[in-house]
Amino acid sequence: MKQAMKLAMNSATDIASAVRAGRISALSVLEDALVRIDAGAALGAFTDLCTERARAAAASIDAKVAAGEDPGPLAGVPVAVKNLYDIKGLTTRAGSRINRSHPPASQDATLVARLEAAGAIIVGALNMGEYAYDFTGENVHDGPSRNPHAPDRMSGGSSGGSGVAAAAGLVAIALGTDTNGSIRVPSALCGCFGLKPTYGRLPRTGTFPFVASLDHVGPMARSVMDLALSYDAMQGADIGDPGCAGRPIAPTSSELARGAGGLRIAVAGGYFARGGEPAAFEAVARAAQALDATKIVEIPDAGVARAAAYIITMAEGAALHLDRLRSAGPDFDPAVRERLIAGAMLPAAWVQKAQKFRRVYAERVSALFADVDVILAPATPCRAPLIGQQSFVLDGVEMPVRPNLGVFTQPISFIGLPVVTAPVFLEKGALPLGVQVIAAPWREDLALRVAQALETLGVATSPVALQPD
Amino acid sequence: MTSPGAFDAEKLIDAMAPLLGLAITDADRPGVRAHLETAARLNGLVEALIIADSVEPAPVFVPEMREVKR
Repeated sequence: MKQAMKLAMNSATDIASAVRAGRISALSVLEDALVRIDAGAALGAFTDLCTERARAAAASIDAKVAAGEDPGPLAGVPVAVKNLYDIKGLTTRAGSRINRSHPPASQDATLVARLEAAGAIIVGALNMGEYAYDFTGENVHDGPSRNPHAPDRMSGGSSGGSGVAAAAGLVAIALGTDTNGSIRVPSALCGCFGLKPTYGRLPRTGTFPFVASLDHVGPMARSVMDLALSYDAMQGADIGDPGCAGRPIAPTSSELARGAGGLRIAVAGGYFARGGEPAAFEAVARAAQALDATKIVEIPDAGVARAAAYIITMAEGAALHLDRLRSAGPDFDPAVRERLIAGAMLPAAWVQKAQKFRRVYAERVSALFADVDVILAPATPCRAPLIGQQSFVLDGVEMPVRPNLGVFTQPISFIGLPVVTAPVFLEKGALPLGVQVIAAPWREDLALRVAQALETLGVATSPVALQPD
Repeated sequence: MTSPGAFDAEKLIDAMAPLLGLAITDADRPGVRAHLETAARLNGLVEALIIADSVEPAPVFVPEMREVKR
């Protein structure tokens, strides 16, 4: 193994610590990351690189260190973002062919700017499912994001490139978005940690939207501390996103050491204990056992919640894209086009009732958190399917892969609960699965603490998937 | 009071496509139909619930004065 290529495989925490102390330069970390990204090109993680910008930013960090200035908590950490985040000077594709005719972004998305202000080095943009309407990580225009543990298998999506880049050690932190599971599904299938914060916690300003009622933004990384560090750097109100709640900044990285002690942890039963392969539930059971969590809770009407999220997604997504469906229909991925066309035809009353149910369901689930702090549930119903696989059999029922990989994530994001996906490798050589660590609204700290406990206990791990020669 | 009739995706497509200004190709039609049938099945779960008139829908809107970009 080349020494140079080891640098970029380190955690964000270790990289920032070494850069801040002057033990390594940000530029050397960046150059190593670029070598790794090139070596991993066949995985289809990246769609754009901004090498010149990254080198200038790294040089600036090194100059700050040399001058004795504080270069920020993420000093020199290579970061890449799903290609629906604006990066100044790059066209924001949102996984589409159509948006490539748009002019380059005139400024960075708010989260990109905040990470860079914290010392991170933005290296490029990542592959994704078209317009984020995807759970597979496949893209007809750019090719699929490939699972770094088994390149013939799906990365999961729609933040597929983000999952691959983090899990393969191409970058330390990747940003994704999650409307119905698009951070949590690829985190589970690729074997990295992912944080979907509370709806409205992080601003979406400068990201290409999908479903305004449900869109979230968040980080993916190979350790819980890296999630917390990046999440802390991104918190704060932003007037550019009407959905951003403007909550006070609540640092989490300083909370992780408290672990899971004293927290009331339960396992989701009912809906979340059927409709998947046994391994999906075994991963949850292993996490529960390690945490001494024996209580089972039933999340009421989770199946209805999934249905309501499905209806809202179809309708809002279709409304967003209706003009493009008329003017540029053939340029869509056919699988996305068909779903959007169908969504445009749904009765408005269906959508409104789904939105009313959202309020009822949120209140019912909130009541659960009077007795528990954290709920564990599977992230996906199975390990990564083969790229191109159209259907799978769950509980004896054959069903299409594309919409059903998110069957366990949709009922949770529907009401915006914060979730950390913790990756679990049940046995050596087997592909990973994910456990959703779910907390009450605005309690990202609790989800992160429990995920940290699972990492410390060795139950949740995210080994670098792409090893250099 | 009438009950909802059987869901007929083909009729819905034929009625809505011209209204929306969408041309549905023969290649897309089976997929659109399948997605509508899935949506109708899932909507049945939501429709079966009785929700009080007083419950507000829950999309995002907070009325406030905002800075206008010029």
